[in-house]
Amino acid sequence: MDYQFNNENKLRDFLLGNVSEDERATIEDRFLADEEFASQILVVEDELIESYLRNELTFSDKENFEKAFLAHPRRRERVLAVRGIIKAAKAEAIFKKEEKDSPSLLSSIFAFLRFENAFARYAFAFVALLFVLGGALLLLNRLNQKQDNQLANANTAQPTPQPSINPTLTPLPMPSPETSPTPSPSPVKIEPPEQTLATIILRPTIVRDPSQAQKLVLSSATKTARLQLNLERDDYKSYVVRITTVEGRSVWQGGPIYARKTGSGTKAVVVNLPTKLLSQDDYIIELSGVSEAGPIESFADYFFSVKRS
Amino acid sequence: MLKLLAEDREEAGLRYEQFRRRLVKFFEWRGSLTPEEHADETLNRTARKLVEGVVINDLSNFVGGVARRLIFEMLEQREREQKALGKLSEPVALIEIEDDDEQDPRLDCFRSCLNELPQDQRNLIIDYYREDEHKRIQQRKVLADKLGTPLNALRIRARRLRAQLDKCITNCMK
Repeated sequence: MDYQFNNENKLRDFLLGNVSEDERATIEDRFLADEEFASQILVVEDELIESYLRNELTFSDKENFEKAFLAHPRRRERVLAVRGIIKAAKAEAIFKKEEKDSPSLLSSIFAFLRFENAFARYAFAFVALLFVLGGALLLLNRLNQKQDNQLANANTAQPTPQPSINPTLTPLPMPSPETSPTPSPSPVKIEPPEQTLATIILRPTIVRDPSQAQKLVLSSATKTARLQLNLERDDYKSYVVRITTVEGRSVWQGGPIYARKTGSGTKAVVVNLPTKLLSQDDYIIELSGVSEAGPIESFADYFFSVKRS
Repeated sequence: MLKLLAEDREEAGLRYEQFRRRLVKFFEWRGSLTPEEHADETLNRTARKLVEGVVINDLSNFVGGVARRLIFEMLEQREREQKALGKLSEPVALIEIEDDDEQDPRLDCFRSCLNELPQDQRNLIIDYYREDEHKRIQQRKVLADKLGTPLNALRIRARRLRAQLDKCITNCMK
């Protein structure tokens, strides 16, 4: 089978898992053998991630993308990395625009000296004209004084002091450049959506006492519950989470999940659950670690209650 | 195995690294959670075959076959692990990417890594990613013209820069 892989749509289909096994094998073989082709697929992959983040994919492509990319920790990290770039790039673009609209004092002075605006040009022309006039007046004054001296010498009379014409050029006040405080970069303001996310931070517990359990309050608007399971030690490569009610009904399980550093510096395993899975009840989270060799061992329990408002 | 890649040892080493990186990606696409380990194991197994005297005419084809064998083993292992967890009522749940207000440490790392880039590279990555949909395509064409480079070369360059940032962010997060 010989495919023309100049068609990048075919490569997108491959990345989304929308090709036959034969086509997949052919693309993979060529990817391994051909460095240039490999670069091209990686570019298409990046742009596919970008399209997803910018909401440009069709519904079915979006579904396929989420299955292929978001369920896999490494690929999910890549999506988050691209998201970070897009956010930072937009923030930087806004900052640059603000700086252009409200320039700093120094940049205003430099702009003025480079005659970047009409005001600077007119001001310079006016000052130049004044210098020319001033020079002309000074010359005239000197000529007058010379004549006066000649007359005075001729009359030998006490020269009547003449008022001296001594135009002093008072420097014109320089038009002060626009001054404005250096704008501090204002972060891109993302309007917070309605409170659709509820977070609970949990520590491992030995005692399963409902009265001591931390409560997660969910309203009808809350769509996602974020469970942050703080780790006393991060000893495993990855983790598996299993959530049941205290009666033993299975609610959710998933993994592998990788520990991440929280804002406070502790390591935690974070799970985001659709709140439709959590009715008002008491829950146990069993956390298991996956070691390098592969075995899974349960090592911590977390306990929380859900209250519906 | 290096001799199969190139006569010159240094060039062979370079090609080995490029090949290994592609293998890592291959395993990632196939759902491996440890793609580097699988890539190394693939190359080790290939090297062992060479030592045993197997004649390999097409190295990439041979390695592809070894890699697929390893994927099969990986899937078998995964099935055993899932059975150990008990029967799953659902497949592994998707962890959604949502835009939340919580301070994401990844973003802090990103900003610091971006600032570490030389100015021209920093500007390139920002200009490349800042616009939305229709403007973005036009903006990238303009950027390519400004840099005097074909659009495709710009895409590849931007992708490499982003991969570089990835590494920096990963180190920052540790």
